[in-house]
Amino acid sequence: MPGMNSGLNPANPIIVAAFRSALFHQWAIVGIIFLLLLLCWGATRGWVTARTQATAVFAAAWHEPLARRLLRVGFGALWLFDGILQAQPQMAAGLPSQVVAPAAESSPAWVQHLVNWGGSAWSYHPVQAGASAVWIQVGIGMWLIFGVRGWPSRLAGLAGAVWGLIVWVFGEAFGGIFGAGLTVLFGAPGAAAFYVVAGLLIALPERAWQTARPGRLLLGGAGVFLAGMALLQAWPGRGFWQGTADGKPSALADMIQTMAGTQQPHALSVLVSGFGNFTAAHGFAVNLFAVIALAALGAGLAAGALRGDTRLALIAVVAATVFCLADWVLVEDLGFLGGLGTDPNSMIPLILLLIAGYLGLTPAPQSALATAPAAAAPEHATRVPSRVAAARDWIAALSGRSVAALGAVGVIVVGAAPMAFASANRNADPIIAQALAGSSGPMNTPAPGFTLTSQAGRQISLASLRGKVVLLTFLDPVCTTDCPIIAQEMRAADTLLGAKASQVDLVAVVANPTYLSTAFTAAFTRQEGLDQVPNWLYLTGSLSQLQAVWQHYGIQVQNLPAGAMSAHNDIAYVISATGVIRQEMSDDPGPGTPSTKSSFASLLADAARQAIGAGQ
Amino acid sequence: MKRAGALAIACAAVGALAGCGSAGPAASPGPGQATAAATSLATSLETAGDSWAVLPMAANPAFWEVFVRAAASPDWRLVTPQGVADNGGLVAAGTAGALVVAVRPNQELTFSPLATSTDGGAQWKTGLIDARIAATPGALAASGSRLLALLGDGTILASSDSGSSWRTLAGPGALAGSPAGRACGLRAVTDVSFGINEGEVLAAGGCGAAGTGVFAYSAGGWQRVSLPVSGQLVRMMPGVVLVASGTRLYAARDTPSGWQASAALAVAGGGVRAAGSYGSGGAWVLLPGRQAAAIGGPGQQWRSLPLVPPGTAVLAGGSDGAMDALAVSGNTMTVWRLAGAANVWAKFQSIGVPVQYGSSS
Repeated sequence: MPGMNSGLNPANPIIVAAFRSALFHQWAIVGIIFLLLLLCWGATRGWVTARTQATAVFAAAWHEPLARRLLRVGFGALWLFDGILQAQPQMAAGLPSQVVAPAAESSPAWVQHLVNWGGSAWSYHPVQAGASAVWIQVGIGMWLIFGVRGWPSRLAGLAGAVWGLIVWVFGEAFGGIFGAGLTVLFGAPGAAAFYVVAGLLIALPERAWQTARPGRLLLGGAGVFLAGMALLQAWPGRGFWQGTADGKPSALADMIQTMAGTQQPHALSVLVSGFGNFTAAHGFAVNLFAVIALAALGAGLAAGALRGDTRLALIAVVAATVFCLADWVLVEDLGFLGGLGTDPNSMIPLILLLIAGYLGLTPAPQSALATAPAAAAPEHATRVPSRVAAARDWIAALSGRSVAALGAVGVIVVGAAPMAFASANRNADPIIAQALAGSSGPMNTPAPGFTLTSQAGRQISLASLRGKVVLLTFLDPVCTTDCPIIAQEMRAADTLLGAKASQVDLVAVVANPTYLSTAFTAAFTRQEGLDQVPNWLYLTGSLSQLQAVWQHYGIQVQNLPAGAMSAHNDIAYVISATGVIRQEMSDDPGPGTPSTKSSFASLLADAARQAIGAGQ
Repeated sequence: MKRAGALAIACAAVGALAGCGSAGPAASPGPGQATAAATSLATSLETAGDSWAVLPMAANPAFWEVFVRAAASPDWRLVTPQGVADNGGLVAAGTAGALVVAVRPNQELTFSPLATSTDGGAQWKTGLIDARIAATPGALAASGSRLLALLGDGTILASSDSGSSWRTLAGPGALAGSPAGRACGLRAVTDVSFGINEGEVLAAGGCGAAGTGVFAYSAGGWQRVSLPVSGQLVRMMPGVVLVASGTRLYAARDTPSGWQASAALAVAGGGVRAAGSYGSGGAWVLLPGRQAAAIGGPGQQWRSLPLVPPGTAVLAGGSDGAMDALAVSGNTMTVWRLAGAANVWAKFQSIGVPVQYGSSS
């Protein structure tokens, strides 16, 4: 998946610092939003009318069904927790390569293509994307927790479902359901799928919770799901029946032992490792137990739901909870410790759904107040307030929780807006290039002159390019890696400059002591499609001429033995229209991924624009 | 989402096996197929008494090296041309006193630099094929200042000035589409060579059921050459064409009186791992199971050689009529020598090659 991997080290200090800075600034904005909301709310509390009092009484009198409350608060807390996990310093640069790409590794090509598309958007704007994920998830969590009833609460559920779907598709590659080795024990069909289900249930109309239908659907669905997972777990040839294969741990034992090897408390590591060894030694027995347990739990849940047998359902839910907790600890290893964990994996959300399903089987009766809102607000029927008064009443009627829910929506907007703006830019942020090559300092040095031969055989002096900004770099025409990438970045920078490209010359000087004839500069120019770029010059000369230029510009060029390419440092200079070096920057393209290429192009174009803008 | 760290470790392991982010794998196909396309680029040849060997020293990425044993010397030297990454493989051709190697495109490089040495590898003159040379050991041929190059798309180029300029002899599919190519059912050209007659240009490829097709170019057209053996083409070298028919391998030698076939060499499994030229009009082959054989010039027959040492990449002509086996282990190339009358390979020389791991990735 070439698009999503920026090639950056997730711990790159420049990206980490920028991510922290973005979070800090957005945190400040979030604080201001809450402060303003509190001020507005406090200021309007004194204007409370009889009508708003009645509305408040009505709101307080509504008793939220326990099942819905569990889903709302439970998944709200999970979203909050996930948001906090997203704030890990390495998440901005590391999520696409270390979380998303591995998740999609075993999926078919179309899934990888889709995931790659989403991951590319992240890798082009890692700081904004990382920060937006934090605030969107924190905002959804708060919205769910504080949005108790009415359409705002249902909307919170819907927001959770939509974001969960996005995470499930692009972050979890559909929970791996199209990949090999699918098993509920590892987390299939993906934790986010359970978040989606919970969100949709919360988004149901409140009257839907007055019946046992949501509970029965939930438990019945969970029963069928677990029974299906039992079948999949038992399917021969999937590697789950052996503890070891060819002397190596099989799929289940290997997964557990890998999890045990990650950074975590020692006691937990010992526990998980021990279970991994036990699985390797008794793979058949462990899988047999898992298959029987999953099948029995599935049957129990489905039967309890179908028959409306709350006792059977309770037994099945308690047993499933124990099973899920055991799997969460012994197989999923709590899901979020070590590495870049983004959530506590699938078992906790599954447990929440199961318990909510059981609670939903016995819905609480509704109070009379809750079913007669019109009678509770007689003022509304006799007098239509002005718009200002209506807004004032609306704010005054808000409870503290409602204000917090409103603030949560603001948090989501604070997170999503910068990413939305960044996504409108199809070019990667220059910070990726800066993170790879390091920042460059301004210079004010006359550019050493030279006269060399262009790829077309013309004599070109640096002085003859006065009047234009020169982006100067040094390229090996038979290089197999960096130099063609740098040339592509320069070409992309030229495109980004648009009309201003006519004020810029892209100049490369040969950096190879052996392959230095114009035949090679011409071939390289054609290879990179630069023969269509009128302001591209690839200059060469005799070895002595080139050595003089290399020396003046601090370029070290050396042939390496035994079939290796010629070595040289990757440096670009920005030379003003008056022949003064304004900037020196490393243009080592690093891994040459689409995002780093695009980022370097943005960086070069920005540098050229600055030099054009600075004039002298 | 599952825990990222654990999955990242798994991915890293998979990535390492797959060679993620490194130079592309060596161009040499695997052993076991008795066709020219499947024969390794690793080869050896002789130019005016000098023996040259071209072979890979490492895997994934491979670093291809050129070794030479001067006519007057028993020792081999490392003379790989510098200034260009050769991880994509080298294609070599020899002419009197000179070796020409074309660097196969690799990663971002899409054309083929040339290096020519006329002084036993002490100095190299650069040249260029502004296209991708084919990944077959017979994709380049030299005769004096004249060169032939076969491109990956089947184009055949010719140069009369040592590669300074090129002209197209046959475009992609032109030979297959010619009357001679159609009659043969030519699928693809895999080898080019110069014939023993002055100015004669040869091209060869597989013709499906019709076996090997060797074609001579004259007066702007191609005529099929009649070989005395039938079978699938293994490799065409100057003056000799190797043809496999089932488990038998033949050498058809070009002589002034026409093509002459050798007696068959039994080839268990039918595969030829690598082949090269040997002596005057002779050839050697490396076979599966460390088996090897060599044949001298016209009139001579195959000679089975003792099992070659482990890691043997090529055979080559040694001094005083001996045969050398060049074996690779890590970054060490070891020369094993089989004296004329001996039946055991004797360790003769070791050369440490300063492979620049990581330099081209």
